[in-house]
Parts: sequence; structure tokens; C-alpha cells
Amino acid sequence: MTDSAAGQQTGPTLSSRRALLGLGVLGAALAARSGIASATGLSDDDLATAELVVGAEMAAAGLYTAALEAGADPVLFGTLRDQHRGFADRVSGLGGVRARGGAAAWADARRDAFAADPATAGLDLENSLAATHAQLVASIESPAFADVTAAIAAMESRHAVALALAAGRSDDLDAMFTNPAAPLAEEA
Amino acid sequence: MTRSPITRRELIRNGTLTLSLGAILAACGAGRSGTTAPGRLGVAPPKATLPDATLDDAVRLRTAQSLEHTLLDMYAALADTGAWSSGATAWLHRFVEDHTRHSAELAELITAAGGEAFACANPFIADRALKPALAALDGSDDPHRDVLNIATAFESLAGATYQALVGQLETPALRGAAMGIGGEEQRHAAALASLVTPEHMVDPTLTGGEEHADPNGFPVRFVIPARFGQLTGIELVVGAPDDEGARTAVTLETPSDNAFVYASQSC
Repeated sequence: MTDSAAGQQTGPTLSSRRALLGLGVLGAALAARSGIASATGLSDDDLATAELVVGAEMAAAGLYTAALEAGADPVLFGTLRDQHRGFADRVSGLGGVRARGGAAAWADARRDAFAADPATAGLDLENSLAATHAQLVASIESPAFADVTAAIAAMESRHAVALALAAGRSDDLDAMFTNPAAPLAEEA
Repeated sequence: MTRSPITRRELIRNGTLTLSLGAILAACGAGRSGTTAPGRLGVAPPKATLPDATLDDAVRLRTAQSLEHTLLDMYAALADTGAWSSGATAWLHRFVEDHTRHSAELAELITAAGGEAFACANPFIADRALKPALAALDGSDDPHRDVLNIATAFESLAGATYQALVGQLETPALRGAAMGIGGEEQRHAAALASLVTPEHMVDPTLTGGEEHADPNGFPVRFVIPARFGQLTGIELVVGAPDDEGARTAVTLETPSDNAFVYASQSC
């Protein structure tokens, strides 16, 4: 009698577990197929963009670290390094992503320039990053991510002016007020 | 035994009278026409009908274009003061060129979005922010300081406006165009900040330092003022102190409901 009662209780539990497992597998399959928002709230496309942004910002911070090691002004270049680390942290926190490795190539190409003439190299980098973010806001789906990207692009434009001034180019109106750079994705 | 105050006969007679009068009144009112609205006393004019105020991308872009013209008006007024330093005159001419070009670019975007260009200053911002700030230049104790502060604040407002537009525009492709223009406004604001506060390019609080306060209460501007682009109100203080030591103060906010330039508005 006891065994029978136990058997009657076990039956429905097993069937519920199977049903839950089945639903879970189905849900995962649907999510993978449709690219709908992940647990972070970002779509697959936005997550890929977030990885790109985090990678670029971390690479930029690394370049400013190289400039500091080569003797650049610690206030300005230390601030710029921290700014880009802050950008990477914010986007990383938003999407729960880490840097994608692809940013290293363009960063390596700029490393010597950052050691030799950090202000000019930094101006070039900030222009590229600002152009990249201005382009990305047109394709980002998440409003929160788009807002953060716009806030980063706005500040990178200011960084460019700081570096143009540091390079002694306040009379060069194009260096101060025009961004001639192509987005990084196209440059790579 | 108490006696009822109304007898049965009186009740029937009064009831019949009331019904008869009601029938006569109803007959007089038959076939009436005209408004059923409650009557009005006096001769007040009828209430104005407000135009439809649809908020769409064309309206947002018209508002941005109006801000460009607000800044063009501002630079014309600041140049007339003669307080703009000769060393920064090339910058002023460049800013005017840039804002003129921005307006033309926006006009194309507005037309493509199904709207009509609005090539004049934003009425709300001009009346409530620019005019008071320019009026405070009269009798200023330091006109050069004031023209720089006014220009920096309004360029910062323009930069913040385009940043805010990214979250407002419904057409994704327009966001990139907005940030392209917004980046140039940020550059203007940053360059002007270097003239307002030449001793500090970076806000010291970003590097763990103490807040840099102006002894006279003027907001301090920096080339790099924060970690991220800000959308908060921009404080602007202008002019000489009055008898109580207070100067003209204006807060600039990115355009919202009252400052949008709707389709029904024209220059």
C-alpha cells in the first residue's frame, strides 16, 4: 500500500520535470533561432556590437597606458586612459560582455605613434572612436545601449579637442573642429 | 387620532394640475433646435482651438535646426559687443560657418522626413534663455568673460541636444547624422571651455582632486568635464551683480515639449 502510494506520487513529478525540460529546450532553440533579447536585455546583434565597443575602449586605454609609460603628461593622458576604461566598464556592464580580440590589430599599429607623439596619435584615435560610435548608434537596437554610445561619442569629441590643444594645434581649425576619420570597423 | 395635512381630494387636484402644466410646457418645447451646450454669460470671445501637435522625427529635426539658428543669432549679437577676443575671432567665424552648414544639412533631413525646414531661432529658447543672457551684457563688469560663458553654455546645449536626439529619433539612420553634428557642437564647446578655464583642461574631480569652484560663483567649464556626455541642465551666469550681489542666471535645458518646433509653427 505504501509502495503503491509512493508510485502514484512519483508519476506526476517525473512528467512535470520532463515537461519543464522540454519547454526549456524549446525556449532555448527559439531564442537561438530568432536572435531575440538575451538575459542582458541586448539582442544578439547588440551583444556583438557591445563586444566590439568594449574591445576598442580597452585597446584605447592600453594605448594611453603606453603613452604614460613613455612619459606623457599624467593628468591629461591618465584621465584619457581612465575615461576609456570607464566606457568599457559601462558597456561591459550593460551587455555582460567581454572584449572581442579583433581590436588588437589596429591598436598594435598605433602603439609606436603613441610612444613618439601621444597627442597627435591620441587625436587620431579619438577621431576614429568618435566616428565609430556615431556610426554605431544608427544600428544599435537597445535604447539604453544607444544612449550610452551617444554619451561616449560626445565625450570622445571633447577628448579630440583636448589633444589638439595639447599638440599645440589651436590655430588648426580643421584639427580642432572637424572629424576626418573613418569608423574603426571600416579601417580594420 | 391625528388629521393628515393633505386630504385625498387635495392630492388628486394638485396632481392633476401638475401633470397639466407639465404637458403644456413639454408641448411648448417641442421642435427646438440649436446647441445643447450649457449657456454662457457675457460676451467673451470663443476659446481658441489648439492646433494638432504631433511629435515626430521631422519636428525633432526642425527643433534642432531652430537651435542652430539660435546660436547663429547668438554669435551675431556677441560679435556686435566687441568683447570677443581677437585671438578667438577665427574660431567665431568657423563656428558660424559650421552652424550654417548644420542648418542646411538638417533642412535636407527634414524634407526627407516629410517636414518643412525651420530656418529661424527657437522661439521658446530665444525668449527664455538667449534674450535674458544677452540683456545681462548691458553694464557687465567683464564683457569678455560673459561672451565666452554665453557661447560655451549654448554650444554645450547644442551638443547635449543632439546626444538626447539619439534616444528620441524613431528612424535609426537619423541618429548617426545627429551624432555627426553633435560631435562638432561638442568640439566648439570644449574649445570655448579652454578659454573660460585655461588653467584646467580636465575637471579635477575626474582625477580624484577637489572641485574647482569660481570665487564669484560662475559655473566652471572644462574641456573634459565628465566621464560621459551630460544631459543635465546647463547653468549660465552673466553680467554684473545687482544691489543684492546676484547676477542674471539662466538654466539651459535640452528641448522638450514646449521647446519643440511643431509642424504648425512657422518662422
